[in-house]
Amino acid sequence: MSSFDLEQYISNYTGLTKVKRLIFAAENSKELRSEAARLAVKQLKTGINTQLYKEVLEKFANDLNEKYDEAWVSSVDQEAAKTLEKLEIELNSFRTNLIKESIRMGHNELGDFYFARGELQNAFKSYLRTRDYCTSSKHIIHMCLSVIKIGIETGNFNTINQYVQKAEQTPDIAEGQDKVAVSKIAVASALYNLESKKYKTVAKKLLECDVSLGDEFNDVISLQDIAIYAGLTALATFDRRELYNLLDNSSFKNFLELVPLVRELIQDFYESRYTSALTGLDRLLPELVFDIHLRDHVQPLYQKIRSRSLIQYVSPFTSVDMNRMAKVFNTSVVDLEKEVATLIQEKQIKARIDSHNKILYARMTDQRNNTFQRVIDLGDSYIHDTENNILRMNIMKHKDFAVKPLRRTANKNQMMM
Amino acid sequence: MSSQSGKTVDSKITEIIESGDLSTLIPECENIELEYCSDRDNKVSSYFYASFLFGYLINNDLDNCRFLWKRIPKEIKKAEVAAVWKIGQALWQRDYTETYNAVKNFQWSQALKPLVDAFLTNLRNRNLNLIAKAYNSVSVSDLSVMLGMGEEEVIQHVMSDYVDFHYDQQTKYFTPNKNILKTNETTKSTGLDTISSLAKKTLFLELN
Amino acid sequence: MDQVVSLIRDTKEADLDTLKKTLESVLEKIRGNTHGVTNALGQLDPSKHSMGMVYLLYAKSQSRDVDPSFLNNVEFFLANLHGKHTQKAASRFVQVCHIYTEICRDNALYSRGIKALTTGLQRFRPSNDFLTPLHADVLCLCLKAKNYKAGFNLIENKIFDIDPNATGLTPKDMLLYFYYGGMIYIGLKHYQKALGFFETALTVPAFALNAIMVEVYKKYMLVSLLVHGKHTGLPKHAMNIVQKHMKTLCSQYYEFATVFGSGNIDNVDKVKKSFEDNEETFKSDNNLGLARQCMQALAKRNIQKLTATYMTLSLADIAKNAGLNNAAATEKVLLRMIENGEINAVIDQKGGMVSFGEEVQAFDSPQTSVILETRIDQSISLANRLKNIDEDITSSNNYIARQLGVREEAYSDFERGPSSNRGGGIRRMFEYFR
Repeated sequence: MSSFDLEQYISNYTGLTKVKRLIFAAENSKELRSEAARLAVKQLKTGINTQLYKEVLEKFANDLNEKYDEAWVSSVDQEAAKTLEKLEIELNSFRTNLIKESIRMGHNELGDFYFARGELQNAFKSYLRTRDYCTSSKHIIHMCLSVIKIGIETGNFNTINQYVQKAEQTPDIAEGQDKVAVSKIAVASALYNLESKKYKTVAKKLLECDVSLGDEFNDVISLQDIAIYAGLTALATFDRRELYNLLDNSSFKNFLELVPLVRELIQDFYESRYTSALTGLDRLLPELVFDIHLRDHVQPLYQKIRSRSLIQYVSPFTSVDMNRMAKVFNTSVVDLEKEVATLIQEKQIKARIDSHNKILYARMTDQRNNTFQRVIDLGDSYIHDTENNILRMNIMKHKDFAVKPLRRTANKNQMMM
Repeated sequence: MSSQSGKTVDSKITEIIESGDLSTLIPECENIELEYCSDRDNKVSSYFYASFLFGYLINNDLDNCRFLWKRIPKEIKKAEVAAVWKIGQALWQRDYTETYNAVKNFQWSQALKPLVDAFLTNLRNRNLNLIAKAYNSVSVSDLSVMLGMGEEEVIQHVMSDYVDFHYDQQTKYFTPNKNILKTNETTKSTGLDTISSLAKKTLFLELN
Repeated sequence: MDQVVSLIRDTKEADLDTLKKTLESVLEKIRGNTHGVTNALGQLDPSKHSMGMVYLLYAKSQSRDVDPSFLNNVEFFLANLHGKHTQKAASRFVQVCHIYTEICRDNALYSRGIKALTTGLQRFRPSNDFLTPLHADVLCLCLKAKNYKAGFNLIENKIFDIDPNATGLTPKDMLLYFYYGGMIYIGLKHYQKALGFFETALTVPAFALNAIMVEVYKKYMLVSLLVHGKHTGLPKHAMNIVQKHMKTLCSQYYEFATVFGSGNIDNVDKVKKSFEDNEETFKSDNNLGLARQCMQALAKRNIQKLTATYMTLSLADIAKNAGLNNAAATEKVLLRMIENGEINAVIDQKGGMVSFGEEVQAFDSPQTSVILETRIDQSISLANRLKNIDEDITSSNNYIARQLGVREEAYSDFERGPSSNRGGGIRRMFEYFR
């Protein structure tokens, strides 16, 4: 934990997400609490979000040396009020002049202002208002991205998805001309799918990103994050061919260069160096705990990757010595046996365990036996069904033969024993 | 009137037992029961019921044996009849020690002795087959429990040429000989019967 | 009274319908005259005077104090009746039988009743394929008497057809037959067959719910746990009203079945709990024994599942997996399973290990061809049956009429006879097709 360099890590981000991530780190780590809080306050003071400033100071009062800066708050608030007024007046004048482009920009500026103030609902409304004034696909994309950012901050994933789809319909995205925009939309889509646990889609979407995105999306995500998310979800869901394509993908290589750990991880896994792959995963873990998007998914993803490793390890062999396998996977034979048994029950491995000798034997289906069994079952069900059908047919010949609603008669008592 | 038909019943049973072919015992008993047994005019003896129970036991048909016992009139449920049921009870629990004891510790009447013997033979055979099927190493004590023999006797029996289990002196465990299972399978009928049934089937397939 | 007797004696076969009407009308009168009726019965012969005797027996059954001679009368009749004649008086005959059954049941005269009714049933039914109300009566007595074997012999004969007119069969009789029959199969541990019977009961046409059906459904659910390890849902041909309401009426069973079937090896405790929660219900429905068997089956099922995952496993581990107490208990359970052919396993006592074979059946013995052949024969006979039914239908008037698109009126003209010209034409058409 202590090897985790908070400042380094956070320098990859800007804007609101930087603060949010610092708050998240502070909430979740005792060691980093005070430093994260301090950095958060520092970042906040560069902006105009006094509300959040107040909240942070209150929350982390014990960990901060700084006192509530009343002066700064009131001066910022005053400025903000003035700016708001100015923007609104401008907007009104644009409206009366009916210049589409200016109106659009006016709304956008208002939206940006609200966003910076932390009034996300108002920002959302403002951005939405630009919809009627968009005249090019660039405008639409801008609107979508703005709304998406709000969605990400508020955790409103449906909105994200809605506007991702909207953006995907524009020619700029559809034809992939604007690589940066494409990447941004892809990231947004990936975040939505991550929330829905559709890990494979996450990987696929992230592969659409291009490094040219640079730091333009740093108020949402860093390039390293893209590499890590893509790497982990790919490991958890891709088959060997797809992994190979991933490694071979020239554009994605650039991402992997940024986080060599992930690249090594994927290569280790592909080349069946399971022990080092698993240690790599462990080394990656500390960082991931602080990631606000990935946090809840780390456990399931790691579990999936481990299962895949086990399955892949076993697949080329007709028999496997479980003692050796346990060493490779850094676990005891007893625990390994349990893991493998679960995988067999889930039908992910076709094998049987010789618990006495601790060997795993691949299972061949006995076709002959299967055929006999199927024939007999088929015969039985034919006989059973036909007999029933004949009886039912004969019953139906008598249209009136059915259990009818009771009329109030006295003698319905001699029924059962 | 009642004692006369009672005697007829008894003699019928004795006839079957003495013939050595017990396959008709159960069907006969079932018919007789329906024919003669209704609580008011019960015309059958405890000898009948004892034989009936044994019939089911010999076939290892414990369900029907149990139901029969429930049907037997209370006055009859004692002495020899009860002793037969004691065997059935133990067998139901798969408590073989009790089963063999229940057989051993009762003074069976002369007439029933053939049934007792038939039961023991069948039980021992069945258990021997079960052991051969279920175990590849089994202790002497379990063998002796299941076959109702003392340890010395069971070792001799099981090592005999016919059965031929392999005995490991050191571990004192037996390895059953799976071959005895094969001889018990039904042999298929061959010859004209087979040909005619095959012909019928082919004809059916051709016509439909 | 004597008039009645002579009337019965003199009626010829062709006039049985008129006789029936007459007897119906005098029924009230002869009811009070028990002594006369008994006398009359003594003078008649069942093989010739079935119709008449039915009415006399009915009259006797309705009187206040039924004396033992009634039983003898009925039994004599049952042993000698004339099938076709009795069918004409089916409903009265069935009523007599029901009363006879009640008497036998209330006085514990089971064997007598079973034998008499079985004999009567064999003479009364149009053929082996047909179900009659007497079937249910016999089974009722068998269950009361705990003579499952006798009941078993009856139900092994499959039912293919019904004829309410000739046999006086009502839907309730049918439900009872399959319900009782299923119970007999359960008693003899033929669970698959019991399931089949309950299924048939649930698919009897119904426009209202029936208490028997509800009881059938409860047992059906428990038995399907025994056979399939889970609840397979209502048979798809069950009527709508059944589908709609069954679940609410049998909710505890439904809950137990769901927990039971949600299958992985470690839900044994949940099932145990569900069993305890619903134990009272099971008890009051007389289904406790069945539910207990389900619990035993649970351990067995878990062990069977292990064969798919393990080739060898220690007795101790099996015990843990199956929720059993110790290795010795596990060995006992395993031995039983091997004995019943429910598992392919070999125990190594020395090492405390069990080796699981892959499949239970090897299909490599002469037994296999016997298994296959019996099924082939059954299938062939069923196919022939279907062919016959098909021929019957295709050559029936209704069908031919429909095929030709001939309208109803034209057809009824045909009924009137060759006098009308149109009728003649159509008749010729029918002749052509025959």
